[in-house]
Amino acid sequence: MILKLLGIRVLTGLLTLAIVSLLVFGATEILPGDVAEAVLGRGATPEALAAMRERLSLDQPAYIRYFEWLGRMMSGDFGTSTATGRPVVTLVEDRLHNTAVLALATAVVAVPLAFGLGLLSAMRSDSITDQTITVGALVAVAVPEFFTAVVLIYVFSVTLEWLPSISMIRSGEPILQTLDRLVLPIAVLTMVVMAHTVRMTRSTVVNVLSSGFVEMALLKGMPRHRVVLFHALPNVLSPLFTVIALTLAYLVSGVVVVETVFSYPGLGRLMVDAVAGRDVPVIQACGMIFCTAYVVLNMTADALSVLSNPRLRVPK
Amino acid sequence: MGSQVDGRLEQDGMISSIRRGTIGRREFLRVATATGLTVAAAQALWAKTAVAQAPKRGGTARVAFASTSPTLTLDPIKTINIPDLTHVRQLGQELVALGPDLKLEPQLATAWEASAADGSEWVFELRKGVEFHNGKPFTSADVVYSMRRHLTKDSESVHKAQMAQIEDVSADGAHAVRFKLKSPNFEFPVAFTGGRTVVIPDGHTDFINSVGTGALKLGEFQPGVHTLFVRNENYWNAERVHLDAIETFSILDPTNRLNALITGEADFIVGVDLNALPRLENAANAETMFVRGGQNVHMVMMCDRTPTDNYDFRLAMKHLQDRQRVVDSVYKGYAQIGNDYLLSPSHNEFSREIPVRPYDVDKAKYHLRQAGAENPTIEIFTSTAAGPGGLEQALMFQQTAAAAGVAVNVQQAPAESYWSAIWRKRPIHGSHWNMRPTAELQWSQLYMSTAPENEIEFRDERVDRLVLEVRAERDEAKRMAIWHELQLIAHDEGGHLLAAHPDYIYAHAKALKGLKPYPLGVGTSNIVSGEDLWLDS
Repeated sequence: MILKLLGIRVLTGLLTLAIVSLLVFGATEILPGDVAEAVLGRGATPEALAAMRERLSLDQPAYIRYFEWLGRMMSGDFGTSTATGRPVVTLVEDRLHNTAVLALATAVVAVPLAFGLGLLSAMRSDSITDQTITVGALVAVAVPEFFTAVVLIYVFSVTLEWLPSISMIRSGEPILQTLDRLVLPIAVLTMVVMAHTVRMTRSTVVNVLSSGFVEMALLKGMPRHRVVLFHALPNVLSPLFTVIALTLAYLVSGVVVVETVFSYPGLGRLMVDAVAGRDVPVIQACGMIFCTAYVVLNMTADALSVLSNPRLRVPK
Repeated sequence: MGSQVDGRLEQDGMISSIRRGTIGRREFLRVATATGLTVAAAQALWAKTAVAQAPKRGGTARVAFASTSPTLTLDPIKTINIPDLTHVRQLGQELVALGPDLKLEPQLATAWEASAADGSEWVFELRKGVEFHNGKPFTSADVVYSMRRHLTKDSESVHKAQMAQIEDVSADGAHAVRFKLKSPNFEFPVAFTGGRTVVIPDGHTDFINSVGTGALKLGEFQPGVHTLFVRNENYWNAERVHLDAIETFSILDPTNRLNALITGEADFIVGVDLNALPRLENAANAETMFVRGGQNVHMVMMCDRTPTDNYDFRLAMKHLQDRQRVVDSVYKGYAQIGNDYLLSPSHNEFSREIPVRPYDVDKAKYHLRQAGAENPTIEIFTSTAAGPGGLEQALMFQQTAAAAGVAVNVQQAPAESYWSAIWRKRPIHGSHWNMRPTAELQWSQLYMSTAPENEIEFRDERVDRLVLEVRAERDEAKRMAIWHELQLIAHDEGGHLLAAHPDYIYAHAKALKGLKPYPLGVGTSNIVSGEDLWLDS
């Protein structure tokens, strides 16, 4: 039963990806101007444009190029970047690694922090601590990322001179050496993704704390912190997995702004540059990677919540 | 007068203070101008003396650009953007180069002359004993190969139009090259200064691990992340190279670029906003570099469509921009006043006899009546892409033109598609050109009937004839007379409304020394190509 359910989820995921591939290809088709125009710029003469379009086979009809692209991608060949002449895979490799490092590091900081704050908030619900945490989390998520980034840079780099203001990572640098450059981007992203988890943890715990078995435990004379940690908490873990997976999904695709502000060489920045240069193979590869990460993480969240919740194991 | 003031400054101990590094540039300029020196002369004196300081060897200078190039290529014939153009100049060299005074200087060619009396054939003597970074000796075969890449029919060279004047290029022994031109041109050598004719080894095609003859060789090339260039120990002009390395990268956001400079993570930044100047004034470790040159931020009035096809209508518009106010308010004084054509006082051919067109509402009204277009409503298309201050210029024009009953709608178009959707499509629109070093290049690119970038669509056989005449003219005085005439035509009849030539504004760490104010700016000149720069600890 469970296997069948998971099988269906995987199939839906694949179908989603197929649709996404159409959307990504369509979107790059309707971008105004092509790579020939972007690369040759204002100096583009009709002959130079034609020569370049022919070399890149941009003169083929769209549906032929779509299936060729899809076919090559299935076999792991993402093509060659039209702007730089390098294989897309080599361009993406380092960038993907950098984005993954940033996303994971943020998750490692943000999730426990948010979980702890949510728990604190729930245990002291309606106190001044609770309200401060709630309002703080909401403000942090409401302020745009670039603004938070600029404020943090101003305070910690320019005024206090504690941390670097740009986060350039050269390829092959050991992560440990780059830690100081990661602090500010992680701080900004943490502020953005925390609110969701804080609110989720708080409401679930508050909910559980008002249920019968908790009241029973308290009446038995168990200390409050024991009740929370050993009775209430296990019930919170299942929604928490979902939240973590969704947070990661957001991080992988949502780091574009932060990467741009801090000049961090991740996948988001690569995609922004590629759009500016109409470097279609790179845009397509980035788009597909983002969507795949999103779909896979969502599926994982689904699967985890199915596995950890007996009620969902039986389809209605 | 100059030497007198020099002497006085010397007495004051100013010059030695510069050498010792105990006086800052700003302080020096204040004192020097107070003693009666013009700002330009004081800056030149500063540059001369500061360069005379004994350079220290070592260190890596980090250069932050404002844009990533969509091409990110090290292939000289395809370079368009500032990062690419800077990179090919760091890696390699052209036959000649333009100095800070826009005069030709020898590079890979040691001498050149027109071998035919009418200037239709040229011979360049090549430097001996030069090696490429891969150890291959530099010979005429490399030059021929590098030049022919522009000349093939399906070449993707962005320099194709200018190279089209070459009929044939051939080796003349191992250390000389002969160019046969389609028509005489005594200004031909300047075609080899734009960065696109950087010489690569014969048969070279690998532009990911590219090599050249330059001061620096490629260390690490990660497009979109950073590029590292390290000192070329075998450089033929090695005594002018002091840095161990130059690293370049891009920071797109202007505030962050400035932050990176102030926090010491960059030593030189390209593109500084005017409103960032107060922050730089207060920065202890950084300073601004103003490069006075021939950058053009202007409005195009297309001469092939209504309403701007009318000569009087164009003249009316030209009388409605208050030039001094544009210089003072839009550019806070960091600009040279413009006179409605694309040549600046920084050019050697600039004619000082054409008076600057005044803001004159009555004249404008008169010309509008002549054009039969009183109280017109016009649309100006512009964008943040149309050069620094372009949008502000249009808004200022909106105010000053109202006095003559002209209603102006300023339309701001998206920057991404500006050059393909608006430029050369709307009757009146903003445009932006970096400086080209000579009048000959400006006219063959922008004003002749055959000019590929004739954005004003003004085609006139007098212009074509005069340019061909000036190219074939050897006599300097006669050439200047022809240039004066050409400028007069463009100023009077052309379709450019050009109020100002804004300075290029850069900023750098105080520790970075040896920067020279080449009027062409970063990318199109050798400001950060590696020679002469050094870091003071």
